[in-house]
Amino acid sequence: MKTNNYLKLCAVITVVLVVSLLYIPAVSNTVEGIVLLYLSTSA
Amino acid sequence: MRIFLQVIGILILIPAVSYVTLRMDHKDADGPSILFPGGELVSGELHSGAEPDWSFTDDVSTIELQLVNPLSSRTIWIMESGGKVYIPSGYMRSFLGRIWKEWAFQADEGDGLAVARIDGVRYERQLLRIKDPAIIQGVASKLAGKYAGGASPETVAAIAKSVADGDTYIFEMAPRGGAR
Repeated sequence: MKTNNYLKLCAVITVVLVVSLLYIPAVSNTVEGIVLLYLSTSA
Repeated sequence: MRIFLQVIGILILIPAVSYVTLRMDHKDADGPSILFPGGELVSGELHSGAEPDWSFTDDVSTIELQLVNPLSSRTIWIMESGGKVYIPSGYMRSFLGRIWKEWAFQADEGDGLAVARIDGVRYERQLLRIKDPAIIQGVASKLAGKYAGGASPETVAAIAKSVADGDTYIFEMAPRGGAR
């Protein structure tokens, strides 16, 4: 993938991810749940 | 190779953006999430008057604790012993503790003023670090029984040793104005 297109892809992923985490509670809850599960099983 | 590096880059980008976004989102929230520190505890009745019977906290798994200075809140365990309530902070001498348990160092070195929210009720407290072995024994027993699968003599002794070695800090959540 060309660098220019790659950077655009990263920007789109960032925007989508930030908006999802801030405005869709289920997304942020799922992310926190996954991290918590990882920490509780590997800590 | 180029494709491989680009994929790696995206795999790093996603958790990094997630962490920064969630951390910033919770920074000024009314209380912490399980993973991320929050801001000032503003909602909930503010307790006033006589000290409550803290034995009700035996059925409380975690509470929200906010330091006044610096202002931040986190989720934490709680133990009642001898009519008083205590909170622990582990990993204090580890690399993880130095970056994750900054609040405990700040409470120990600062004025210790805090607000705890337990079952929706806020209590203004002062955190006093406890090192007295006699007190620690009772707190360690409650900590072991409540959170470590049972208060066996070995477990209680290990917790007490962790406190004596400085790996675990135990703070009493005293009424404000208590002597340090």
